[in-house]
Amino acid sequence: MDTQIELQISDLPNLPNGKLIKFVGDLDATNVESTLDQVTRLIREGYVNMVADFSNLRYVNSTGLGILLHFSKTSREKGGRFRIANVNDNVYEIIEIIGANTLLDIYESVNDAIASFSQT
Amino acid sequence: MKITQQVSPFDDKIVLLHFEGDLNATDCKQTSVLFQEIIDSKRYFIMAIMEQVTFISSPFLGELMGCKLRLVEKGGNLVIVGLNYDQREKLIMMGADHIFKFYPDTHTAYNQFQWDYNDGVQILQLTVPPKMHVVPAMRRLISGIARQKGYSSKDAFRIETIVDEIANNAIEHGDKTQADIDLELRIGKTKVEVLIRNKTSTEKVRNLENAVSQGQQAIQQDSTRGRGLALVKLISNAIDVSFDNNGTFIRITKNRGDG
Repeated sequence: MDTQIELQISDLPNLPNGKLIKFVGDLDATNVESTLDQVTRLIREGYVNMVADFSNLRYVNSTGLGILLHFSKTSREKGGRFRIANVNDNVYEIIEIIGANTLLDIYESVNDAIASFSQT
Repeated sequence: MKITQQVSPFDDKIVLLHFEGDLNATDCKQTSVLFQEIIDSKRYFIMAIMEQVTFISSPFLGELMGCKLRLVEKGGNLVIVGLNYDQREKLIMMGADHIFKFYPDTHTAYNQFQWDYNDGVQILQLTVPPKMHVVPAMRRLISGIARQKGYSSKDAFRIETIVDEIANNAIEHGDKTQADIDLELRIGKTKVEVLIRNKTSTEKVRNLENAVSQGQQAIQQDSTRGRGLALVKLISNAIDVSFDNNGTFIRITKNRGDG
């Protein structure tokens, strides 16, 4: 049985081509493929401005971080941004140790992340 | 009251005192003398075995407290083992559970003694199939044990990460014909060791050596993969890789509370 991860996807009405994705659970090697499929589908559909809410993401490993970097890179290539908010301390520490904090756009809150789109 | 005395067959620093019957105020003097003899013999750990005790008077409880105090001053302890439900409830109502540790049996008390005083290491051995889907349960189990053993949330998270990355690596890069992966957790008061053994091809072994030796360099590369072992190296205190005819053997040490 894979680790449970649920992506709760909702619209961001004030952000063109925007989607809010709430990650719930653990992001690890058992579920990166399904996560990759869901987010890649959104990018393919033109939703290139994404805010990932990590308030309920308990755990992420190096494989999970790999696909987050991939989302960031892909959305940028399509003219958008993949931004992350509400990262818990343990997850942030892993992101920081791996050096991904310099590659990912991380914000304190979902509102901050959404607001940042109007500044770019 | 009847008391019989025995030095523990497991550790000669421990004295087992078997109490029987009613422990009345009139038994205090005899018991006090016995406690002093034990302390004079430079044995500072007493397990008071009370399976056969039917009553504990308040003065006798006071005597036990006094003895405990003398033992603690010497770096030792007195614990209560096997007390029946009624007597235990009575002692709890008197607040004695804030002073004494109660154990159901000598085995449990001995394990705790090893943990508290001998830097005892408790070992968990797991043999799992080389399938990714078994890893989450395994890593959460080990993280949970670390929390239960008093490691901080941060340490437990790092230990969970170590187990996850190292197990995923063994599965992903292991010989496809390998039957099982052996994982051992050695958890002590000051450090945790995770040991994993699996079958790996020679070519993969070289890659593994490179990944371990690169550390931070490996994770600066603009790649979505290959960060796992480098991450483990950065969040652990030591990582050793060795190889023999039985496969690859990785030992990771994570000290407690250093980050």
